[in-house]
Amino acid sequence: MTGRPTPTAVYLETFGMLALAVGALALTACRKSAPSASPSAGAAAQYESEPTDDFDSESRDPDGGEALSELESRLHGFEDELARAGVGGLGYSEEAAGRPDKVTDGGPAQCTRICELATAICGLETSICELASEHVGEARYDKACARVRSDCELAQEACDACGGS
Amino acid sequence: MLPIAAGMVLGALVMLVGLAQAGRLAPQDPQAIVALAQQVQTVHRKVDLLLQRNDVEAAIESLEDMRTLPWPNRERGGDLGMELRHDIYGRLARLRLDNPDVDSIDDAALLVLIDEGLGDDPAAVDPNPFTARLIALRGETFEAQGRDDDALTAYEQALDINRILLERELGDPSP
Repeated sequence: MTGRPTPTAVYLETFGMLALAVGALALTACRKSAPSASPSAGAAAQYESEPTDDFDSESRDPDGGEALSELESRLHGFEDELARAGVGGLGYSEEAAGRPDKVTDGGPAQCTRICELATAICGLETSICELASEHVGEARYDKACARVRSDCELAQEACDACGGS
Repeated sequence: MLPIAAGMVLGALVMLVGLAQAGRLAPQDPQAIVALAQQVQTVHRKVDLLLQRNDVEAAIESLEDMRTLPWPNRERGGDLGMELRHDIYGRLARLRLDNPDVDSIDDAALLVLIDEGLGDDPAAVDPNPFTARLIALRGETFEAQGRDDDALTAYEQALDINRILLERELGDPSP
């Protein structure tokens, strides 16, 4: 339990990174097209009233193209991370689309999830089969132990197959 | 400029909460779930630090404080809200089970804690590791009370969830 990466952290970190990238991308795009495009009149007016010299100089080039492509590239990377974390994609990259919790990317993140599930299932095997050993001859306990033992083996095989431990 | 950027980031966060809920029950108020997730993450980090200092009592106290939150029900907070709740209560229950001598409570009170965390209908929540863990902890608590049949039921419920999650990972089309 101590120090483990929580899915909350995964969600927030991936959300945060992607959100920042989206925000920066939007700002960059907005800056590039501000004189002609103003999807939100109020925001656009405020944007146009701001001096441009204070805009983040590190994330732009003279025409904004390089910064935009860099941000798009980062956005795709973040989106892929989200997909591996089990979150549906924005549609910027084809491989990121899909149902949450149904990610079969085959990558290290998926292997980690499989191995964590194997750990959980095999932990349940210990609990259930220890209970069964105290209820010898009771069919329900025997069946439950046999079932979880099979599940543990399957999960462990899946973990081993993807290179986990 | 700053308010616009902040607004865009907030908007993106809210949008992403919505995306994260694809296939699950979505929260009625995504902004509230974002705030709740941030709070949960902060508490996890605090607990990590406290445990590094071997201050289990303070760690338990921090998690106990979270019980006083007005946790949203599933209709309002969606499945993600329930997962966050099960995450926090699961960590609290695990700490209490592993440290029975620290700020001790009896098994009945621990069961109340776990049931409070699970809420009215945990089976309705989209399968996830946090609900599975909290249900398994319920089994441990039953076992400590000598209620073996109830313990086995809880373990099997947790196993069912974990099996679904594994099938999803392995690409099995079954639910």
